[in-house]
Amino acid sequence: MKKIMEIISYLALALLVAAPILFYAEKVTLELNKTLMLAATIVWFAGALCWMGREKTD
Amino acid sequence: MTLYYQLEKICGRNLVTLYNLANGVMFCFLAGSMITVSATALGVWFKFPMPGLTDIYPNSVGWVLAVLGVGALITLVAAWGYDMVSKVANIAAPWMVLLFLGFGIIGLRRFIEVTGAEVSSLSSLWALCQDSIWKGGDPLPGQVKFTFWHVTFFAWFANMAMHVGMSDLSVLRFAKKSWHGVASASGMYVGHFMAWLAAAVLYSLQLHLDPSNTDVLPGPLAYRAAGVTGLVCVIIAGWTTANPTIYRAGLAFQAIMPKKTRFAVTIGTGMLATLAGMFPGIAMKLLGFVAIYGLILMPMGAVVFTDFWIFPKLGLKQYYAEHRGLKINWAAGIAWIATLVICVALVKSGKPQFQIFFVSLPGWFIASLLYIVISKLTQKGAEV
Repeated sequence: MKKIMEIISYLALALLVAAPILFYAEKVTLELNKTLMLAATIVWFAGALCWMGREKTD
Repeated sequence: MTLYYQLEKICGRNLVTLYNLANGVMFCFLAGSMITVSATALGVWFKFPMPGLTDIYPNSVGWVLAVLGVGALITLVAAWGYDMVSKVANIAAPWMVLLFLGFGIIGLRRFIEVTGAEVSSLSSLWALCQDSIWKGGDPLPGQVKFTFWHVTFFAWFANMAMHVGMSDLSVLRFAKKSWHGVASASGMYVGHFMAWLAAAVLYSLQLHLDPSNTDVLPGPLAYRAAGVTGLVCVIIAGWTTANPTIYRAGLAFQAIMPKKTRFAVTIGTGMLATLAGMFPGIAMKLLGFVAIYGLILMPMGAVVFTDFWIFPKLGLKQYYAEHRGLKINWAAGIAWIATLVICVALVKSGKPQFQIFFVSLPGWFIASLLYIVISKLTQKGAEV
């Protein structure tokens, strides 16, 4: 479960940087870019809380 | 081993108390300005009047309440201790770095849109940067004209108190390997150069769209680029900078009041920082303030470095105050004060190479040299 959360978190980080690149390439609007970045942020923090800094206890 | 304990062994109890007081107060102001930064994000949400570039005092009840809320939260996390500080920073760091990059990319695209520029190669991108983004010009009245060298040195010295002044020891004492010290460099190069470039693009865009809008408010800038994520970023960026700063300031004050718990001292420190954060003048004059506080704390970093690495090679006694039971190691005290006097005189000379942003570089060597020479004199003849 921890590993899955870790992968999802990193995918969220990838989305965080992919959204502005897509906006730069005119593939998404600024508003959609903002929505994607917000979704990526929520998933990153929620996911990272599940595994980051828990190495010692698991 | 914290900077404060190391310094006490070198400088003696009385001198280190004076240094800790200066250190703690400076860190409170710095943390306060970071609370100010975070509070600008709340201004976008709650729409209270926010301070302008020339404002010194709080300008609305909403502003005061926002600073109070952010300050209370930051203080509680810092008081919780290093584990909590580290956990928040670890989770936020990779996200924040990529978000800074995103700000730059979005700003660039927006610039292309509003200027109608055609960017199809690196040379056309360079032309856009030169002609529209970093096109130069006279600074606003009362502001220093920043050149390439100002930015380079400032990126290096903005956190001088932490890196050169050795305050990083308060965090790096937990490092498991010596090379973990390069973490300071990542803060400078990623946190300063990349984030500043991105922020410059966004600020330049703001000026391009409305030349009369000279407000330097991170919250609205970030919101226009990345919406709510931008606001969260500004809050967390200020938070993660203020957190270890309040923690460090707490350690400095605790060294003066060892009977008080670290929790109580950090709460008191956070309250002081929050009070400072209500005055936007500190954040709006951050460049000058950071240069001064780095300059004030830098000589003691030189003393620690010289005492630890150079003294054994020169046959001088390390930790002289501890060894002789001194309350003040005059060699360190004179090196500190004399370096400050010399640096201030250099700044006052008005020569551009000795501006406040540059003077700390020669200052470090002056402090080291003075400490060695005066230690030679004071240790000579004394039983070492």
